[in-house]
Amino acid sequence: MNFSEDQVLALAPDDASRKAGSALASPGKWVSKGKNDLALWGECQGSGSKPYQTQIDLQSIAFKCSCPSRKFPCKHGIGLLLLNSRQPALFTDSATPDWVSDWIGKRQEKAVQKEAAPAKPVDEAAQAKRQQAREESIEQGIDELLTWMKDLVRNGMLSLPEKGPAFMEEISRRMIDAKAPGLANQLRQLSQINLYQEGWQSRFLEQLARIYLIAKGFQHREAINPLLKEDLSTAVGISISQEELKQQSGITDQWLVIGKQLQEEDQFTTDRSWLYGLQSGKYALVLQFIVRGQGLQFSLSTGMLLQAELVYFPSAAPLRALIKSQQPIKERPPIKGFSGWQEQLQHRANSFARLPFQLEMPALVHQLRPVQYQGAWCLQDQENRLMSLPDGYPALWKLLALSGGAPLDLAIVQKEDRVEPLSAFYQQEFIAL
Amino acid sequence: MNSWNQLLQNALIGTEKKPPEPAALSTDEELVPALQSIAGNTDLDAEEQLLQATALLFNFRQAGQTAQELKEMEYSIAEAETLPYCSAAAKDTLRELFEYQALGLFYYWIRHCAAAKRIAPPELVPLLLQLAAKNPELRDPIRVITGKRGEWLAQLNPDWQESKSLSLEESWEQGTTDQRVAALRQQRMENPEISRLWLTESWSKEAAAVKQKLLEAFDTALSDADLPFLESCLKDKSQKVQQQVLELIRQIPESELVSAYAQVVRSSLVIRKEKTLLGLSSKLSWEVKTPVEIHPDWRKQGLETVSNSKEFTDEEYILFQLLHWVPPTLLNELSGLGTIELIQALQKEKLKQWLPAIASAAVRFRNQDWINTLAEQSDSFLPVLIVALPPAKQDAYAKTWFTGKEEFFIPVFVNRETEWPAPLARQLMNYTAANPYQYTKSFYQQLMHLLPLEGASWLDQFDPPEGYQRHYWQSIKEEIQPLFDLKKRIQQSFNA
Repeated sequence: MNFSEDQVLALAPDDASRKAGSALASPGKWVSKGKNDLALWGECQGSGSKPYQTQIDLQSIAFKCSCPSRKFPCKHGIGLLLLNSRQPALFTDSATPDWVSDWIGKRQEKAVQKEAAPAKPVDEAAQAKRQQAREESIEQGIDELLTWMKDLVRNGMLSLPEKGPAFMEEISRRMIDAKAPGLANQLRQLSQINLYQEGWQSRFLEQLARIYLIAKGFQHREAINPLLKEDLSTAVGISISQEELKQQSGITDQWLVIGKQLQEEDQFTTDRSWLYGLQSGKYALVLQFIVRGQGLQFSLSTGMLLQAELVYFPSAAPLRALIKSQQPIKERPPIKGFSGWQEQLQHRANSFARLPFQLEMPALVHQLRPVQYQGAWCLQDQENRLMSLPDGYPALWKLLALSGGAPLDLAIVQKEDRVEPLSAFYQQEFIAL
Repeated sequence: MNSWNQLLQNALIGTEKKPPEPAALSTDEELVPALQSIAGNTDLDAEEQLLQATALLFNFRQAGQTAQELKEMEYSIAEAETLPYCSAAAKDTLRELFEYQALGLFYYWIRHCAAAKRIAPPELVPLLLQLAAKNPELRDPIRVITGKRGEWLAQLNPDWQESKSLSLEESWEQGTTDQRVAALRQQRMENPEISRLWLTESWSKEAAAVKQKLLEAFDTALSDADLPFLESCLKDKSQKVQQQVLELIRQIPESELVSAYAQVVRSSLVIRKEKTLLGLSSKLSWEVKTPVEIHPDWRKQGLETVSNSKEFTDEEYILFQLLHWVPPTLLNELSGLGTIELIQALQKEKLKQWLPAIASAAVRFRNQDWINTLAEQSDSFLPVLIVALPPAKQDAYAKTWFTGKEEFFIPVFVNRETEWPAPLARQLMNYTAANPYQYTKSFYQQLMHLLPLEGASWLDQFDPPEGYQRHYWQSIKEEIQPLFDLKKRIQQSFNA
């Protein structure tokens, strides 16, 4: 697959890697370089006596480099891929060196072994016991959480600004102790609401309602449908085995990466890639976690098109998914999104009917025009309906520059009543915003 | 009040003081049975009732969200571009430039783009407008390459308003001080009469600091027609403005002041070519007749009457200063000699000391013949000439004098618009590489457009004498090496 420079740079973990990678995208830096259908490789002369061996698996976009960097992909990986996108004619050598064929071979072997490996014997009794203990712990935590919520509404939320974030942090920590990290995360979002910003009261109550729904739903999980029960388990923080999930068959489609967001937290970065299945019309969110610069299994960037099998996490309104297998493709068929806000909001309402506490939802909407209304920037559809952009939307000027006042097809993600554009379809390309 | 706000009020005040009444909420009919069921559940306390009603309404609000419909909506659309966009390769180099923030290469990219009659891709226009807002000198060139999209965007963002295309009159009347100065300078070149009119009309309303900036632009196309205005400004309240006006008047040969200086020089200086004792050759006689009579006001205007140089007596020193302010052609008149002959004669040991004043006068009165001849014929280094020489002659002057005088040349050369010739660039970089703490990475980032591409191959050859300097130069070298590569790719992307 040939990546555009934009796509390569979007793979870099930070600005410094982007800059350093750009500096290495020069033929003089590479002692050797080559490529074939499976891999791209090169040897870069660094400060050590031996050049660093950099290799990229072109089938599943994975990187490996012998340099000591903790970043992933490292600057050598970015530089090599960038050089290939700028000057592909320089990569004339197609005879795979041993160090590349070893790595590619091992990857393929591992993939085959994974598929063929018999499931490990599971001590079901012990597992059930562990699960029961955990659920009991979570239930105890939820009892405390509900008491905390009731105290809060009994005494009134007006005094919250005086209490400060510590008030919410304490209960959030308690949820961690109760083995309910999902609830802890929901409470952290509550504590992140700026209590000195206009309209905080309504936002706070909405998030409180969401937490209440999850907590009460979990208490009554045996009485509700199995898929929603799975959502509740995920929402409180009970994770699902990804290996088990991969054993299930998924949806094979041409998946377009319509947007990518990076969220940095204390110890790790969350890579959130939003995908859209061109045949199925389904949306998916692929989450990958980068811990202290370790690698991503799949390096995705906005505009990439993959022939892939995605397995959704069990849910009443499936969105989060993992990539079971994938390979890049070049030709993109026409894309069919929503014709306007009414259609998109109807889709959203249907999804809420199945999963009442979900937070954000992606969509591809055709022909949206950025306009200013009552001092705020909005997106107007073809039927003159408006939805607001988030306050301080960082890519506003890039969006306006691409639009020039004319409508564009946009990939958006809606959170509450605001829509955040992720990418724009411009001159036959999806451009990250 | 809608039902959500009713519940919000309960939650804010607290159910202890304001218990919720789910059944009494004014809401859609579909919700009534559910709310009545909450209200009728005697197992629920007030807090639980509030939380359940809130959860119900939250979901109802989320699922029932609508987009506001506005039939009458005004919006503007950017005009269609008249020039094509630059190539994808050129776009990539521009985007990379924003990573490096190398100002010099922005000049380079923008110049290439404008020369190729192309415009920047729209997604990078906001970054370019931001760059223009921070670097006023880039505003005009960026305006050209951001096309109609740039014009349209600039109207929407007050920070970019200055990037909007304004006529000279608009800039003068509505612009910022920098824009007004630029407009005045432009008008001085196009129509000095109008520029005088602008300044005359606004002068009394301008602040002293603004007057100083405007006067900086006024030295363009200065002529005797400006004298009435300038002389009227000599009584300005600000001493600094007065001094600046005086300097401008001193540049106009027809002014009374310059004529008066010339009169004193004529009566005090006798220059003759005399035969030597044996009559085989001739020498220049330079005689200062004392006392040198000066107008009492001149002291107030800055003329020193006591010499601060051991080379001059007090009387000679007065004359030395006056020679700064009279056209150098006066010396041709007094001596009856041509410029070359006169300059050659002034190379004698005792006469060389007068050359700095004569060079200064040549530059002040923009006498290119004298400037060029002094640069070619004088054995003394006259730094004042550098800035007044045309680039080719600057290069020749640098060839003779650069070593040891680098600090005089570098400030002039950094203002060049075109690339430095390779030998000069090499000499200059050899010096800057040896002084890495003074000429840091930002120096090269600013000037990358002036460094020839072959500069990349010299970097390893520069070797500062001290170890600590060598180490620092090494780190600078690593930073600038990719800039040479980027410059090459910019060039290729526009030539392809």
